[in-house]
Amino acid sequence: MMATLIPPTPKERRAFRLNALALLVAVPLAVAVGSYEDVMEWRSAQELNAIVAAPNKSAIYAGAEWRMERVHRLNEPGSAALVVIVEFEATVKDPAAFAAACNVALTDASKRRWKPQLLTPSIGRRVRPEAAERPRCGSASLKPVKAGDTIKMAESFLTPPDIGDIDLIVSLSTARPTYLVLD
Amino acid sequence: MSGRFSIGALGKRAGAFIIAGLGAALAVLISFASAIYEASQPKDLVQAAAGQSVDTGRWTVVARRAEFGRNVRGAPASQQDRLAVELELTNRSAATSPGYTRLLELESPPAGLQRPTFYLARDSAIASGLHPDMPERVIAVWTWPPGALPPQKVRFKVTSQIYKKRDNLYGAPGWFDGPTVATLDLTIGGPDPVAGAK
Amino acid sequence: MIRVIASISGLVLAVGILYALQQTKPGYADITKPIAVHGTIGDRLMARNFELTATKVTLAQRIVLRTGTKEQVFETTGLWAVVEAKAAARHESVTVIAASWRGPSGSRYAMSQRFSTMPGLLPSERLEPGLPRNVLMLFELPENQVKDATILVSRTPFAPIDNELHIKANVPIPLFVRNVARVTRGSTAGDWRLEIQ
Repeated sequence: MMATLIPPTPKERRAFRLNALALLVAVPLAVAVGSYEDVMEWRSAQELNAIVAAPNKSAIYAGAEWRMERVHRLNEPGSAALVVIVEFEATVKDPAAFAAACNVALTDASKRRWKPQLLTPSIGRRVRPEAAERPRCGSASLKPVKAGDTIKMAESFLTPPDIGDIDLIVSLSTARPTYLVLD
Repeated sequence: MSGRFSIGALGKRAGAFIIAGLGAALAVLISFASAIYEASQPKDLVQAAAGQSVDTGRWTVVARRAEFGRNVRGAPASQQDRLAVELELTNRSAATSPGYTRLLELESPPAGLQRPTFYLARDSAIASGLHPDMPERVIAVWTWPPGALPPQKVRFKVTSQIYKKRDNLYGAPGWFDGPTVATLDLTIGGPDPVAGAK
Repeated sequence: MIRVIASISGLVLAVGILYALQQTKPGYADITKPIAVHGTIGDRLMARNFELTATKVTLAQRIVLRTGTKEQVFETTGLWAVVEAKAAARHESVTVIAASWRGPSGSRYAMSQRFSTMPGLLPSERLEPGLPRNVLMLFELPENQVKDATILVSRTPFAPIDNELHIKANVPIPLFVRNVARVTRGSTAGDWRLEIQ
């Protein structure tokens, strides 16, 4: 029934061991090469290292110099929410790096994040109409920008009334995983 | 290197190969023959008319009437000629589904015919997902290409949907397009047999 | 002879074990199913990125959307289940778009998509952290699916290894079906109020 096996020669045995050892290197290498692009793509979607602009100071980020201008906290009568409008500006140095998809969020000491509203709430349009007319961060780069332009932007948020000291977080796809914090 | 196997073992191996080869050839032959047999014996398609219920697997379909023109009952007005078919659909699966849009297909469509839009008969809103075990009347509306001849009679192919507990790609459960199960003949402007019976 | 019997029974055993493994293997839907968070009406339930408290279930024959003096009526062959809830985001602003009503037969009735402009519906409200807001979920279902039902809420319709809230609906029997549930649009955008008649 059984095929009679001839025992392997010492030479064959050595070749077998060598190949088994080579696998230990080849398999992790294959995984690393195969996933490199995915890992890089994941990394470029994350916000990992911060550039912090202290209050009343500017910071260089994504080919522009960013500065916080004003923060308005507005109470709409009859609503439990606080409307926060943040006005900020960027002086462009490298238009290619600045013209990119922009993520904005508001955060406080509790590390919760509020994403911006698509439309400025009505109280914001009444109290700060000039802020409501400013472009949002994502739409500011839709128009062509030149080096040296100063772009004035505004974002509005709905937050609980007891929100503490707030930071604005800005990140552009050209600069991620680095992000900007405007204090 | 000398041979790995002794001569006697090689002979046995050859025998095993021959037996396996014969088995495989037999399997190929049987599956081929059964495919030819099935193709030579087409299943009779159900020939449905207005008012008759057709079971398509996931849906029960009753066609009630067909209409042609700019203004069709149950759909918003339009400037273009349209073919409208009122259907009563019942979702027989266990979840809300919008998967009824490919149930009916014209057998000989005019060139350039787009996929139909579905409206709820009750309020002429665009129909979305239909819920399990809740019969709902919808109007399927085909915008007729300009210049194509207005139809007198229409014949549709009714496509089935079949449930697979495990699909071929992920092993996930789901509903998939199946074979045509029926043909449906409707006369434009014909009476609504369900309404007539009431 | 003994060797032949041994090898045949070995083969049968192997086929049996493989068949049992194949039959009991969890399917793709089981492996990727959401992680349930159980509760009932009135419980504050926490999902990974939102929290929700279902406060009340009302049955109604029709739903009316009132804008100014105009009324739009939504009829159904079954009945409407109006679920009121309070919802908020936890760590980051989020929109919760998937809810369904699972009846005693196991069928899932997804939230009705017939209301394109209704204010206050769960999927059209952006939830903010720390800011609970009143939301509505509207389901269209046959009468026999009302009792022993569970309301399932998750962030997206397909939520593998994310949380899904399983809220016991506990509708009292005999069913008390109201005539009209009327949603009236308020004076400011997004403002609304619900009346039951």
